[in-house]
Amino acid sequence: MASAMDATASTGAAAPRVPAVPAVRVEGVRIAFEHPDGTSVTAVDGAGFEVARGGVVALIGPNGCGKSTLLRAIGGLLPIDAGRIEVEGRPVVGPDPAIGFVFQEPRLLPWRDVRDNVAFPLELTGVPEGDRRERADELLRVVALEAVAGERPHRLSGGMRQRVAIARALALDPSILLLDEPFSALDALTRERFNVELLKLWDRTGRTIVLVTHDIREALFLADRVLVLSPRPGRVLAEVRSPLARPRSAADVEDPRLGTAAIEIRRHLGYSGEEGDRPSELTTDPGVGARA
Amino acid sequence: MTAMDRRAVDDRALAAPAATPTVTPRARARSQARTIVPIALAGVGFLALWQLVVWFGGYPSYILPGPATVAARFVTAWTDGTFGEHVPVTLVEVLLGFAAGAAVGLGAGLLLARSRRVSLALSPYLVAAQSTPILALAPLLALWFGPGLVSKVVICGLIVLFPVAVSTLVGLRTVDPRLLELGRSLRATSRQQLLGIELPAALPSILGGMRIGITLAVVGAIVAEWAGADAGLGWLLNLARGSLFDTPLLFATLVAIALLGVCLYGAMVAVERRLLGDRA
Repeated sequence: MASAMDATASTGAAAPRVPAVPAVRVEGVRIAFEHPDGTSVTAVDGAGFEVARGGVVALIGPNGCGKSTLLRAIGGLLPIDAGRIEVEGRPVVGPDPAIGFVFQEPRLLPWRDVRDNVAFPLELTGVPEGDRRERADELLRVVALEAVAGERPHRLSGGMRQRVAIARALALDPSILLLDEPFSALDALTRERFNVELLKLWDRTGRTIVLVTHDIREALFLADRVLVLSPRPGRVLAEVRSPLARPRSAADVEDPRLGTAAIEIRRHLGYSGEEGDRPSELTTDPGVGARA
Repeated sequence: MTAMDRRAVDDRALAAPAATPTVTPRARARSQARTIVPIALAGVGFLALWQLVVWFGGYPSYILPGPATVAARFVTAWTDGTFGEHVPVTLVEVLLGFAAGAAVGLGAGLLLARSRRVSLALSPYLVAAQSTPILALAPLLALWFGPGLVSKVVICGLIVLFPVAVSTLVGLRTVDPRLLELGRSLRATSRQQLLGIELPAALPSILGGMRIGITLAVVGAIVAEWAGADAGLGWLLNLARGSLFDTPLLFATLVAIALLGVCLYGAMVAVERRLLGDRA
């Protein structure tokens, strides 16, 4: 037993460094939608990128550029018409157990209480009831909602519901989290706070995260790399690295380097730094976020 | 950690005003009174009107008995055991017929919702079958299945089937597709989708169909007993009208049937409340 372990350890050390399998690999992906009248719209064409294990990547682009479509394809919820998507080296043919998906809306089951909503994925995989409950309560602590475990979703605020959805996405302990504008329905202040919580969550668990957003500052604040998508059909126009180091804190929202990076992203999105730019998006109300 | 706790509490406070309306016992009593009083008033008004028609019309009790006569007959029908004999017969027919019709209707609704082709092929016939007066079919069904319980259950079931099938179909067709996508993202099997998402989501609609079904089941049982029976409230109606020529008993039986319907409907609503809880 011990010798076998030694052997693997030594071969591991001796072998030349094998390039690690990326958590997500997207290559030349094309996705088209067929309309009932026979016309088809190409939503995504020639999209390609990789996300390393533990990396955080944001997809940003104008409305209708197919960023959500691409995310759903990675999640195995949509078939692709050309190209290749791999999750941890496996080609995606359907929803992959390594992936947890957080939708734009919470999508909670209204007839279940909060705990049972979080436990729903565990129920589907046949986890016994006692363990389900324990795990759900643990996840609710992570999103600071243990106090409302017995409530029905309609009693919660929009922000709380979305946190329940995040807890549910974490239930099966996926190594990759896909987030489709998860906080877009929330007001700006709540959103900022949730972004900070999401960062904390990432710091604690180190999951791979791919998120879709249309908020430049949010993208730079959360992600290591921001992929700028073109208008429909969407493909990756440019990649902008976030200037922020990890771990990040709420105060980093104010980092002046974000402004420079944001201007670069805007340039790729097609409006110049001077005219189309709305500086208000970059300024933060004094005190907001910094104290969160 | 404490900061997080505080946040959760904050959120709770934010959510609370819209969510938990505190109901004091007094407010509840007041709202109950508000529902009961108009019902009682309407009842008293109806009885008064009835009595006035009898008085001013001068009808003999074999044509139109007054409410007091009917009430007295109602009481004697209980005390002499007439209702004691016939109410259970009808009740059993209604309950069995409803159960059978609801079960088949649920299955039919599922099948119709699953396959567009099946629903296209069968829908017109279902509607046609529903439009055929059961009154015309009842004697034939009584002939086929005999004067006993079976023909009653079949006739009740046929009446109940349609609303339950339609409400199941509608309920399943209108399930939020985003919830189904959620199920898919969690790799739910089609059985898990059905039991975990679709049926619970369709439940309010299905129960609405059953609510209609339970009142129709009472009508079905009475019609079936008219067509051929040797017991039950429908049979008693026939007897009171025909050979006995006891019009007060006829009315008393109608009251018993109406009460049966109201009780069953109430029970169905109670089941619905129980199953749906604060969802609606």
